[in-house]
Amino acid sequence: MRVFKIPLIIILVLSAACTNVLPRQRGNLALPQMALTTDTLEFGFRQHTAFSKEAAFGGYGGGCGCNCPLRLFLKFCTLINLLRYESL
Amino acid sequence: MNHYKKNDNSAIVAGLTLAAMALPGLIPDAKAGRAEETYNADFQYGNYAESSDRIYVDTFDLAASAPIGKAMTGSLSVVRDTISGASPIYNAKENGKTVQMVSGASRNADNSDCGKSICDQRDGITGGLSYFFEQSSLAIGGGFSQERDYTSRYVNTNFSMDFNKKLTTLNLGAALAFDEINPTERPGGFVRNRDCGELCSKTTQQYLLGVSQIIDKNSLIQNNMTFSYNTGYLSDPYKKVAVFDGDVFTNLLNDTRPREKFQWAWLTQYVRHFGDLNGAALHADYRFTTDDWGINTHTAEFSWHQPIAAGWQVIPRFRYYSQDQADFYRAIASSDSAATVYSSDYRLAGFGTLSGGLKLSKELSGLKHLHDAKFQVGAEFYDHSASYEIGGNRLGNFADFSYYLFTASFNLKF
Repeated sequence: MRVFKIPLIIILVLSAACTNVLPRQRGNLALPQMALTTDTLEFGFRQHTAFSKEAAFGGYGGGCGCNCPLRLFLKFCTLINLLRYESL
Repeated sequence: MNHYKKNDNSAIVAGLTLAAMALPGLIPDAKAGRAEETYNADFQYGNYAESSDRIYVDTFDLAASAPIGKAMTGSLSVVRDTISGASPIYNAKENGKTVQMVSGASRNADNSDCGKSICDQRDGITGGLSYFFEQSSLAIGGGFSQERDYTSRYVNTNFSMDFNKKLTTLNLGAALAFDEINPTERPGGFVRNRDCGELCSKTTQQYLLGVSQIIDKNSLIQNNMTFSYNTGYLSDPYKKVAVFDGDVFTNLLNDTRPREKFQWAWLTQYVRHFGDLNGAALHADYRFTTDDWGINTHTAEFSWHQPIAAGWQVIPRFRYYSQDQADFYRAIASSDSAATVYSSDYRLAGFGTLSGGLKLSKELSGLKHLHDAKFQVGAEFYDHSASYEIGGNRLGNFADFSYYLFTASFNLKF
């Protein structure tokens, strides 16, 4: 289980190490080119075409067999990020 | 009715399905919190063309989303893919060298609908709902897709929650897919892999744990872990393994893989804004995966989003990928082997890939009846080679290939 603990620790350290950024300072983060996924239709096409030729699987929350149940997650995740930054 | 399709094109098709499931980013509204207030319609055409005239895919995606009340968003998308071409079936020895045997060489091609050994069409539909609370959101979704020999049904749910003055977001996801494979057979072709009977099925579970974090006013990072568990028929009904005793062919076996696979993936995505460079953005991704079939992979990808002027943006990108081979991969099986699982699928071999692309984007605003409109075109070249694997390998270049991707899309917000 060690392999799972190390990334968790990294996540916690990264989270704690970040400085405070006030809502009014987050304008740059809300720009469309700053979205984690800027073009989800194209992302889906590229990512999963590559997936069809490679053994790698997951990470992005997609890449399952002939379908990608978590693909939708990505969309909502992107949405949530955008909304969070812009609504602050 | 196509014979040797599963790995090469079913997966491609699969990939294309996913494109349909994705919807573009939605315009948020500060007054309504996280709920969107625009109606969105998006269309994408994509084209995939593989070297040596192997696989050719056209894909059409149509996606729409709309606000439902003040805190909910609904989305629906459909996709149609058309696929034609040929696919590697197994490897053989010819004059002491390993060569790929491709389905296009069979007489199936003469009898098919499109003049190739593989002809198929895939239709898919996906829907989803998301509900936004003050500090969190919940999404559910599901979909269905069908082609001649492959049916897939899937559901998913995802939950996100903000912490730390909304600097940190925790993401949790779970998904379940049920796939059925009904291998088709054409008279005169190779006998299909019947190991699972007339109907093969598999189940995929995937769980995601992720944290996204604002680092400072110009950068953010996301770390994801996914756990995937596949069970059922994980072989490829259209692929074979040739057995040789020295240089003498002795048998042709069905591709036979374990009936379970567990994979763990780690992804880090870093995005940075450069105000001095006209608001350009750097995207850097790294992903590591490992599974119990013995495959470890590394992926690194970089893109640069450069706004020019008047809504134009140019986006170059570069990607490197490397994987080592599955424990049971055999380019050619030896007749003295006692192995019970074996595959010659080039996707389970050791190799690396290099790819690069360029995209142009033009955003139009202030249009009558439209909140916003965006048009995009892109192209990418992808090169697969055994020699690109980290540390190299001795397999040789018999499975090397390349492909081009082209995309054109428009996004409308009302």
